Amino acid sequence: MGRRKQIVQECERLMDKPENIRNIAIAAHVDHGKTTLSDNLLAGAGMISNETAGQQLAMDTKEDEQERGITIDAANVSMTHEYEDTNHLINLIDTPGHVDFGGDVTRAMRAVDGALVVVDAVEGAMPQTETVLRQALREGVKPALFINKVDRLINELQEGPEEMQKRLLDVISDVNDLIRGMTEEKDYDWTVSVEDGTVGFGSALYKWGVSMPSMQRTGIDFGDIMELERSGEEGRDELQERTPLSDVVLDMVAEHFPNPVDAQPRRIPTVWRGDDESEVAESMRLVDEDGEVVFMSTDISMDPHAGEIATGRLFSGTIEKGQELYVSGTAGKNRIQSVGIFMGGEREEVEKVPAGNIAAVTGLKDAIAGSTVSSIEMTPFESIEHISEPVITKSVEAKTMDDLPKLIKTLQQVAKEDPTIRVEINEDTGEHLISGQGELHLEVITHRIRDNQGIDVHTGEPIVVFREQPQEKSREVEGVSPNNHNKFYITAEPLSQDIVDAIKLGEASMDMPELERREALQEAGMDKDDSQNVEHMFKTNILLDETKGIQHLNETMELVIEGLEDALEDGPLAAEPVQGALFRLHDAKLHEDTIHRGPAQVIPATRDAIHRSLIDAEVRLLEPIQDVRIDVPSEYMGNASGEIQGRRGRVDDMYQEGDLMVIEGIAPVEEMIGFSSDIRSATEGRASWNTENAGFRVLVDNLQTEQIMEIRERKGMKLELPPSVDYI
Amino acid sequence: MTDTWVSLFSGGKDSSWALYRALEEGLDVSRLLTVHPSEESYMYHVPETQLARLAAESIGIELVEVEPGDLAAAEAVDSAAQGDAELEPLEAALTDLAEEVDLAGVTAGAIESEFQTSRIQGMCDRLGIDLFAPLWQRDPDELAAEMLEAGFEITILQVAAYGLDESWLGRPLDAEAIEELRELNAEYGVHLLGEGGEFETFVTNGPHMDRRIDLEYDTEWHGDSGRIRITDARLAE
Repeated sequence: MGRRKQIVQECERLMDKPENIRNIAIAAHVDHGKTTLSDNLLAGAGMISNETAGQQLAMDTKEDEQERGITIDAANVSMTHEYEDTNHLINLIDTPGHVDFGGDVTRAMRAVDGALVVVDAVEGAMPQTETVLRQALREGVKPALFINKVDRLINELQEGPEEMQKRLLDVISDVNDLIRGMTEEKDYDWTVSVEDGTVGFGSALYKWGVSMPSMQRTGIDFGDIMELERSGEEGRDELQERTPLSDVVLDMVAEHFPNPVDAQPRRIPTVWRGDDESEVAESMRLVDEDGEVVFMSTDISMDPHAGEIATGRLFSGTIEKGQELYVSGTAGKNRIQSVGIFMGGEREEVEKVPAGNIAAVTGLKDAIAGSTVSSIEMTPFESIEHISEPVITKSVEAKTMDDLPKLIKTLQQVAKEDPTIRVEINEDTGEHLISGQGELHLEVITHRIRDNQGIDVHTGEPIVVFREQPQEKSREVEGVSPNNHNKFYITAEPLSQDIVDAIKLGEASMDMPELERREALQEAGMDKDDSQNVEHMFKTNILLDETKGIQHLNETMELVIEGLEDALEDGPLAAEPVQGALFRLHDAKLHEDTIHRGPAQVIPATRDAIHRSLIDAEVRLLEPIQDVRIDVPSEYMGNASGEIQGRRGRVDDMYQEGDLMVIEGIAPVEEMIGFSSDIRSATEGRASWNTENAGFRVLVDNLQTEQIMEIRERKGMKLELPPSVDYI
Repeated sequence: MTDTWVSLFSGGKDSSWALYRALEEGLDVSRLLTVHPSEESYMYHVPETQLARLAAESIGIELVEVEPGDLAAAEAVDSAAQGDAELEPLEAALTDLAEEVDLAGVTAGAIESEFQTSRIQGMCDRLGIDLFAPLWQRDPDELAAEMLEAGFEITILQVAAYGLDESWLGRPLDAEAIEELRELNAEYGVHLLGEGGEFETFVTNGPHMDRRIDLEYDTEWHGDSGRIRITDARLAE
């Protein structure tokens, strides 16, 4: 029997013992060494040979990942580890660190109970360290810290014991500041510490690691490490031999991360809003393998042989072949075709998977990343909203007509796998649009269409996605139906940022019970009466119905909402989505006869009123912006900051960190297209840089008209601004 | 004279179809009655009612024209009160006619409008006459097919509905147009036969007419709606 087969069998044995299971994610800022670390763990568990760990990047399974040297999708693997005479099953998800793929990180966090956050000892906590920590803590996932690349402190920076100690303690204290800030309202202390053993140090590249418990066990301290690390290959081999990274990290995982039985009672109320008195709530808390099946898919991937694979966390019950399960948001049931676990990019089929595990199943044809799959109809899990919205769009067109159906199918698949991608299919023009988190995000998607599906496509230049938002309160405007028999009286005004944030975070939505929604809106600062008048919410916009006793309005409201949504999808300036607007319906005149107030009358009347109110509310175009951080040797500082300032950007801070200068600022996404090659040539490749989407900002006044016209021209709209309103 | 019928007639497809069905059923229709409102109306078929004269000539039935002046519908806020007020001149005209002839009933082209039908029914009850409304609550799809089958040639004069653009003005309502309307119905809820004022039509030829009517026109478009302005209309030689 092969080693691999043995591991699978051992995993199957352990699956039934939730106390011995750890579901964990490894997450970090890009290039801090997550994937190399994961490979160490795989090698330690005997899944890949020790020699290749560190170079093989077994978890980067897609060709483009290995080419680019970064992880793009979250990948899954199960392994076993013996700790204190008990064998543990460790289900591990490696997540991407690049900002463009943040959605994968958020989804992975739903499936796990512990997050090993990896930080580069030289660079320290970086912007995405903060992001992944926030994503973990919001999901109720417990963090631990591994400080990687310690070998560089010793060999490259030639630091002495005190300098090194100070640097490591600084990293820990920075990470703890972040954790403290994000868990203020919680009753537990999840800060990490060397003494507790929740912090590890080491070098994933040279496969050694230490922690307080390991030092006590092996007797190897930092003095020994510095000596051995400095004595070249032989010393490193000895280090790796005597204090292997995988043992240190997996011990930490087994000791400090909660098992599903500990974690689920705490996590269920965070991620599920159903009735906590119900039987299904109880069996999720108990991780009951005999309970109803409750599975949340966190990832959908395509396997050329098995078809679509849904990977996710099984919170309750036992999932097995042949089960007919409900998929949230769709009618009918799907039949499970096969059940498996992941062993480093490859799926191993098993008989069944019990509660508390991460399972990979086929047959869930209706499931998307984020679906709740269950044996009874139930309240679905909270949607896994990734905070950032798509900011950049590219058109994709098949070069030959024959590929058209295949392209559409692939695009639909892409949207299913990655909810942070938006796909707009236009069968009339054949020019489809994909929107994502950044240039790289879209590049990877088109690369996959080309190389994996073999579809020859034209792609357009990347285009930035804009928003439209009112800037002040409008006067009351009238919207009239084409037949003149129906009239709507509406005002528009901007929503406060607090309310917008509450909507974005899912704290207030139309899906929740009315009372709860009212309270959430009031908490975010909405007036009490207003919160009671909420008729509809669409994206980050709200419609209030302030009318009283208008005959036929109730039965017409559905059409009013349709008109509202129409108007908000395509704003009045450039048909870009409207955000952060509050509309008040003050009055309506409706024709008594149903046939005179059908959809073709009410929808355009509402649409018209909404657009007019927005225009009177000084609606403006908003553009997406990014936080930019550049680390660069001081002699290139001027060139580097020039790259921000020359892009309509703003430098907010410059400071020394180690031997590098750090420049922090913001710049519009549109201007950041092509930044990577420009900054490379401006600094002769010496800068490392990082960007993070930071929402939308009003475009400066003198660029408004030009930008609006440019978009209108691109969309084939009339090249004139909408006329200002005739006020009533 | 006995049992004379009056056709409430605008020249549009629905009132023409009601007239045609009445003639087919052997009813003795001796008058066409047209109301010319000068402004927007809640009740009547508005555009180009003057075309009714040409239609009446082609059909060969005497036309009675009622011109109540401005019905002030543009200022109206309550459609129910307005509808009642608009009915008055019509009822007055019929009352006058009833003194001349032995009035049996009226024909009307309402399909789904409860608003129109209940008011006309009420008026007939008051006058003690019958209402012949052969389109009432018929399936629009079937009606459209029957009209085209019978050889009605229909032109669209005015549109006022989401999804209907300027290209519809002056367009013949033929099988192709019906097919497109079916799609617009699915997408925007446009009524297949334009009920609810979504589009208005004029019948230029049909089995009940002797001579075709030729139209020349310009188009006008405002926001969501538009109409054609007839510049010349005459009976074909």
